[in-house]
Amino acid sequence: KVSMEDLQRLTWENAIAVKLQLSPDSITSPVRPNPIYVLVSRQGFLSSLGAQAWPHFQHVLPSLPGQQNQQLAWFDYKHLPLRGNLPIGVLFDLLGSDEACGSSIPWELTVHYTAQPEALASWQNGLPQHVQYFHSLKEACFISRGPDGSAAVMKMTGPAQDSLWSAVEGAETSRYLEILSSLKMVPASRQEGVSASLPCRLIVRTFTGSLLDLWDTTFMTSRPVSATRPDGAWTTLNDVLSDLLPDLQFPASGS
Amino acid sequence: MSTVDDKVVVVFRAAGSAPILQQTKVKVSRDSKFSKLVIFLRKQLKTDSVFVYLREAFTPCLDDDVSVLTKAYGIDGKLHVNYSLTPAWG
Repeated sequence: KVSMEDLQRLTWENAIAVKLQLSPDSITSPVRPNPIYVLVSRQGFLSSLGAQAWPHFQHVLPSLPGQQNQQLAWFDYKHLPLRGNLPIGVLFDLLGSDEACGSSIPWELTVHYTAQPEALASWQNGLPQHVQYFHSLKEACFISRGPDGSAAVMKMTGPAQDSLWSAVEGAETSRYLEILSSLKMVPASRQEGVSASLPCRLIVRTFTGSLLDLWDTTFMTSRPVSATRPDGAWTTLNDVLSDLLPDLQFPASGS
Repeated sequence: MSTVDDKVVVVFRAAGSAPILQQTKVKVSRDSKFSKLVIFLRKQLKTDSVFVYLREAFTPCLDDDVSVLTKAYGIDGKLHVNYSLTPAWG
């Protein structure tokens, strides 16, 4: 048997091997730098990969005031711009493990230090990555514990939020779990006779054509999921998917 | 859910120094995406810098259906959307 703590640790320590090369449109030097190979946590975000790449590539980038160059980092997979608000593991599951894309390990990505394409900017709605993360966290806490849940996140001090985001980016499991425990996110029933709700986010890929059309044919939905079915049994993954995607046929739970 | 035919009622509430819209209630089709409401607000407020919130707390997925959000987070069958010109709920 695996304890919950061990399961959480295994989830956070699961990493993906990435080969990262610098895009030619970002290079001022006549010599293209060698790619770098890094392990990135599935739970992390592309911003953490950008931070790892910066020391290796900054010497060939055009000089800009302050940290402006580093903040411009965005990534593509086979010319498909990658949405930075999705965890790296989710991105890889959407793209990197698809045999149709001819993918392999290490996962080959390209980093750019230029202005982001419009498609990425519109997806982010002008919000920095860590802000989007905290919006997701507040929504999850609201689902788990109602207004008190989201309020707990908003009551975090600035340094505490920075520390949490730093732990997420650095895949620092212990620090992440310690800070998160203070939010008391464990779902609880808020009304007698009503089951607790679990936060669920589903990303559905429907494309069958060009990889570059992926984001036009992928949608994301978040919603509460009841922990138990009306008959009192635990809600299964099949139940969740059948509810979210009623047009698809999933085997009934228990079959 | 408060619906007329296949519509969902959305109530806009200004926060901070954001101006109050002339039309604070609209009806949108159930399968409208939340991003449609954001685009509406940007047009009404004549600015792209609009911050939107549900339950005075969080910004949901932009491509979620308004009907899904109303079922999950609505009040009396209506979707209440707070908007501001600067971040309001951190």
